[in-house]
Amino acid sequence: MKLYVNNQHIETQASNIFELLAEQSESSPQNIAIALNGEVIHKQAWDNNPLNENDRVDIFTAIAGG
Amino acid sequence: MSLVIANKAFKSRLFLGTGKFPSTKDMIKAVQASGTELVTVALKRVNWDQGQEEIIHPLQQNKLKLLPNTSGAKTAEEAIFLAELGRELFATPWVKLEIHPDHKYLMPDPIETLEAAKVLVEKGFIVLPYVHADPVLCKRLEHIGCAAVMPLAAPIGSNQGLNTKAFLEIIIHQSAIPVVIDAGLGAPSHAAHAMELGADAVLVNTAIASASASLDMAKAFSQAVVAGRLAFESGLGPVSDEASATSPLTSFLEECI
Repeated sequence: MKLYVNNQHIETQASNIFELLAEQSESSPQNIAIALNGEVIHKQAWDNNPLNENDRVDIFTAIAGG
Repeated sequence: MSLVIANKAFKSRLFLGTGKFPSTKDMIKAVQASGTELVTVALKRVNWDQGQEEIIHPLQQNKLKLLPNTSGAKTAEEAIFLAELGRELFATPWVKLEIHPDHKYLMPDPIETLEAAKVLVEKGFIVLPYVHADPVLCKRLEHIGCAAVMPLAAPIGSNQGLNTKAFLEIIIHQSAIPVVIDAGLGAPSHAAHAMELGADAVLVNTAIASASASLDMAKAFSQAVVAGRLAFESGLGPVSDEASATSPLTSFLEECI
């Protein structure tokens, strides 16, 4: 399945956000926020939001800033 | 008297930005030296190939109020999206709303900012918008329910000082919500001057982060903010074009000549 993750097309077998993260990152990702098709998904709901072809996933983390 | 924003009391009237420090360790030391209770933080897209330096935990360990910003947003829509991500990531409804489509001067877009602020207030966010020193806009933002306004003194990171002084004075005079002067304060004297004008707080980043001794500069800003606020509360004397004798001997000396 093709997804659009952080503005890049990727191929994935993941069926939900939790699986996508496990696929993308070697370590357990900490301190990230995720939006699926423009809607922020709470961490508790990462495993019950199914991913579909051409979904847009935005993954953000915290940085220092003014 | 403490500063209160959205029912949260602050003893320190100095807020710090956490960007531009050589390392997180340096940033934390400067934050501690400044005595601040509120720091700004930002968001960026994850790049799994690059290591992520953890900043949330060390800031929370220091019991700091986190103020996520929407830096990078060029439109109201992008800012609202970033605010919602920030609320999830930092577990706070507070947001420093900043929208600057222009990369050279980073001037905040007043129209997009007002639009985004309306939506965010309706969604329950505590909105602190970064804006130009525009008294009319600040009043509009107050009326729609913003918790404070953050007018700029000069372009972000420019260290130019209080270029917008005349307009900041009007904003401070008119505002029923806290006024936090943000951006462009390059020296402790600028911060002191802002506080003497009656600003409720100042936000400083570049001047501290880029100092060769950022910890000491943080202390200097902290002392300047305290001094400026005390001067404001003490009642500064009127400015006159003419001299006013401070000694009763003056007339005696004139008579002897």
